[in-house]
Amino acid sequence: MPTTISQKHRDFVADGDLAGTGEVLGKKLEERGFDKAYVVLGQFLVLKKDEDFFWEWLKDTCGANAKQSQDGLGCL
Amino acid sequence: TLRGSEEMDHMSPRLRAFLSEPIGEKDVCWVDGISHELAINLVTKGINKAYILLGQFLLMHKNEAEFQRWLICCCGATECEAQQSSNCLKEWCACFL
Repeated sequence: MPTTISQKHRDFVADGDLAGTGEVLGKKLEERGFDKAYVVLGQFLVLKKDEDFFWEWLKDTCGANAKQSQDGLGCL
Repeated sequence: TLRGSEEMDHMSPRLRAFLSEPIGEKDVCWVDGISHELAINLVTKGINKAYILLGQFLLMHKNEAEFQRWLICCCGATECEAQQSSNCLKEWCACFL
């Protein structure tokens, strides 16, 4: 599979524990049922990979700020 | 992890085709189990791409029963269509996630 994503990134999306990142954001996502990175990926896909919609969703869901949303997007 | 050729032999041609490359921008009708009629229903609901259906599957924590229930109740899928498509997405996750 052609990819420029590192194995670490892929491992994270496959089974990454968001709370394990130690981020406040990860904890909030987990509280709302987004306990794995692939669930957040699912949300991104359902939003048709629209970054603006995803950012809005992240803000509404857990009060993420702009920097956190960007980081989340970058990872996905 | 890629599927061994022996495992791939037991898959339907459609499933094999779906798993043979990344999901990209494939239309939803590419997902194994999605009939022409079901595809129309899904597209009407805005689910025109395979990756959107995958997203729904991931949102449901890859729970096949839950996904099948949703596909049947909300999208008019038959039991057979629901089972085939959830299996297809499960296999995709095993290959690519």
